[in-house]
Amino acid sequence: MRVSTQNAHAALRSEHRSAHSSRRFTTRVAASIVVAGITLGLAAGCATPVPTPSAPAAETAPALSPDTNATLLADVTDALAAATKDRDADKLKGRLEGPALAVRTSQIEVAAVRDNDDLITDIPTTFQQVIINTDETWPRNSWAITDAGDDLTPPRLLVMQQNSARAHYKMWGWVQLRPGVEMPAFTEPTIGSESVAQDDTSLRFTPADAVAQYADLLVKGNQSDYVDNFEPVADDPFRSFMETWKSAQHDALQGDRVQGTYKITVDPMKDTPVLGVRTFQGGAMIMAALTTHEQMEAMQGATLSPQTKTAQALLHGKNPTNKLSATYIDMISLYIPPADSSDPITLLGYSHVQTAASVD
Amino acid sequence: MSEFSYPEQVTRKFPAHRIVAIAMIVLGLAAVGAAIASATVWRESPTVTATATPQGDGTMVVTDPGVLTMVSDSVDISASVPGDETVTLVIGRDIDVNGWVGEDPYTRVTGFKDWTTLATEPGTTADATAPDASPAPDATASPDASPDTSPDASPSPDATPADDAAAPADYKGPDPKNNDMWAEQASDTGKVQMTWKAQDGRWSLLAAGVGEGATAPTLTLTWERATTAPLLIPGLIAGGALILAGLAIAIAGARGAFTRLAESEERRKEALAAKAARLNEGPSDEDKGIPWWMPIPMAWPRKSGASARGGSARADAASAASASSTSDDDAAAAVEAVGIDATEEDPDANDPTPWASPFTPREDGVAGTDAAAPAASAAADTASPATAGTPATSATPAATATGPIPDLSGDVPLTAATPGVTRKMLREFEAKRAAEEKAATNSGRFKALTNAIPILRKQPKDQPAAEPSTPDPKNESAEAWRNSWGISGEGINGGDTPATSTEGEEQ
Repeated sequence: MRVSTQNAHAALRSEHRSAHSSRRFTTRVAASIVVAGITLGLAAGCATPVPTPSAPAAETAPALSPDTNATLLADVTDALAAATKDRDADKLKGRLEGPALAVRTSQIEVAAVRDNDDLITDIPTTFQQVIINTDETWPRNSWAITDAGDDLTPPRLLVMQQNSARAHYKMWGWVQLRPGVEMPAFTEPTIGSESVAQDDTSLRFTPADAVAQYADLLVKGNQSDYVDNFEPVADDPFRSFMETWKSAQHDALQGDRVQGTYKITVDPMKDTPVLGVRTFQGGAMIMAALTTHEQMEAMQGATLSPQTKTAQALLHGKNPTNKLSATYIDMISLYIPPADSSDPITLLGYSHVQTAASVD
Repeated sequence: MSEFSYPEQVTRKFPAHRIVAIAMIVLGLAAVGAAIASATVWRESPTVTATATPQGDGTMVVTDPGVLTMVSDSVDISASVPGDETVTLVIGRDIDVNGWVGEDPYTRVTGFKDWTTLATEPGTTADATAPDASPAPDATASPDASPDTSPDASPSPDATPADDAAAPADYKGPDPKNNDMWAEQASDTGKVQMTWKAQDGRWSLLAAGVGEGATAPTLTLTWERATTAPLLIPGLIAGGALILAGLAIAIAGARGAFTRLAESEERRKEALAAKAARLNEGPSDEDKGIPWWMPIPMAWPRKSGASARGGSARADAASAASASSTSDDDAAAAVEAVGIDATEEDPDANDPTPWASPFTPREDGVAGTDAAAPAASAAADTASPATAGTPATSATPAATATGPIPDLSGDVPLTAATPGVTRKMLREFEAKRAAEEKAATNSGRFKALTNAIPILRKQPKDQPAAEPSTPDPKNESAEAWRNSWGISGEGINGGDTPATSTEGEEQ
């Protein structure tokens, strides 16, 4: 009896405690259930927030992708081909400008006069290398080196320019690379190369100065003050050619019955900036246009006949006189070493095309 | 004295458990359902389509960098203009697009306004990304430029009228088509479409109405996106856990109720005891080849005691059980096993202590153990006085034992008025009791499974041989059991519990 009663009491006390803690437990469980339920409901019921646009930070990049560059190069070569085919220089204007347009227009004119396209510079339509500038403003440039021509003529270096955002890239100039020339290295076109302004001072000479010096060199030869800044004339095919040409003209005017004079001027083309792009080594490859003017005059009674087919065509059948003048547009490409270098400026390629002739 | 506290305990505890259990199960089911729904009916649409309506003047719509790919890496772009006007779509670097747009008015798309609308604002001519593209040429652009150095800060509503005034009525919409800078372009009359795949860099879309009297196109961007159901697995797990927890609580609550029911049902203990006495005549579990690992129904929650009990080392099991902590569940299981186990315990079973010890409760939370164990032991112990045919003892406890039940049923009108006890509770209690009785009467079928079959041969000082030959009236069997355990009547306390004798008679 006693034991049982004690047991009963113990059971009661225990039961009370148990019930109390059980209620607390129940409260906690209920609370956590409610929290879990609300969380689930919120997660399930709430709409996903709208995403916000995210773009990588702006960084230096080539202005053209390889694809778009290839497209515009194809457009350029198509325009060249179409203009040549139709001998219609107007078809060049969509894709050519500057010195290239002037030279090509003249060549098509000559071809039309001669009814022969042989003197139109062949520009291959396939490319072995492209150099894309990282311009963010306009004008912008890109460069391309063609494969060798069908007649094993050396590759051409072309430079394209986009003058404004809504303009096409247009071929601004081209040169025929020196045979066997070793081109400077450039960063990959997917990385892009920096443009070099014509007054860039990070080079041994600014591009504008280098071009002016080269023009002086073309006229004065070894008498130029700048001869030491360049490679020897024997190594420079354009200067070698010009020296030979000048002396030949000079000699031709020296006869007793001629007693002629020969004058030549070479100047950077007016209002035409020098285009440049940084090489991998920190130098610059530039392209510039020169205007070369020849004037020959013989004694009265003598006649000076043009010797080249181009000049003959450009005269449009005018009768020769004792005067003869010729205008050339020269496009040259130079490599200018970095400022801390003492290497000479070297010629990478050139184009020398007569674009006008006169007997006045 | 515990008669009245008994139903109160039930009302306090049992419904609380059940409410929690039901709540958890319901919430668990809801969570599972929500998880499934999140992967099916609630799943986001795999297509996102948003439209930009041009703002202000101009014929062009320009997207900010990143807008094209803000949902996924592939976007279908559509731009439409009224009638047979021409519309052109181009995609280029943002710097190129901004440079191309230059100073013309345009609509700038900055992102989502909502899932179906693109946020737009009038474009400013002094876009910071292309300041050099074309220097401000006229007076109207210059004043706008200075306040708009931070383009988002002020949409510069003044810019629109200024540009509007600058733009003649026959403004000719410029056509960006065929510019070398574009990565993609398309042009058509009325409507034009294109698809854009994400690329590295900052890409903008320019949609332009082209030509005389052109209007800015309406731009629609459509993305396909891979929709996921991130809540499916967590939802299923959480829901499943809730359901399981709810079930566990429900079972625990029910078992707790059993325990408390058993406290007052000494007659059941008596019945079990009596039955156990009969069972002593059965073969031992070794004889029956019952393996030690046989599961023990109803005793499964018991931690060490239950699993060990089936083994041959019962003494060890008993001590292990006594060492193990017990809970309500254990207590319930204990009650189940008590009646039968009693037959196998050592002769000192007449001492209540070993009975209580296997179920010694923790300080808290074990309600029924203390009550149950003595009750059980009492049931076992008092079997002999009851069956001994002592009328006095059997009569007195009978009143006590049957007290709870008749009292309750008889007090229905009273308890109806008592807040603590409701009819429902009484009904439930009655139902529980009936079930318990039924279980008690059927408990014999568990004898094999529980392994709770006494082994008489282990009892050294008894004469088991006599028992099989003994005729099998209840009294004799009970006495035989008592004798086999060395229980003598005078050692048993004759308290108010021997009422179990009446229960034994029911069996």
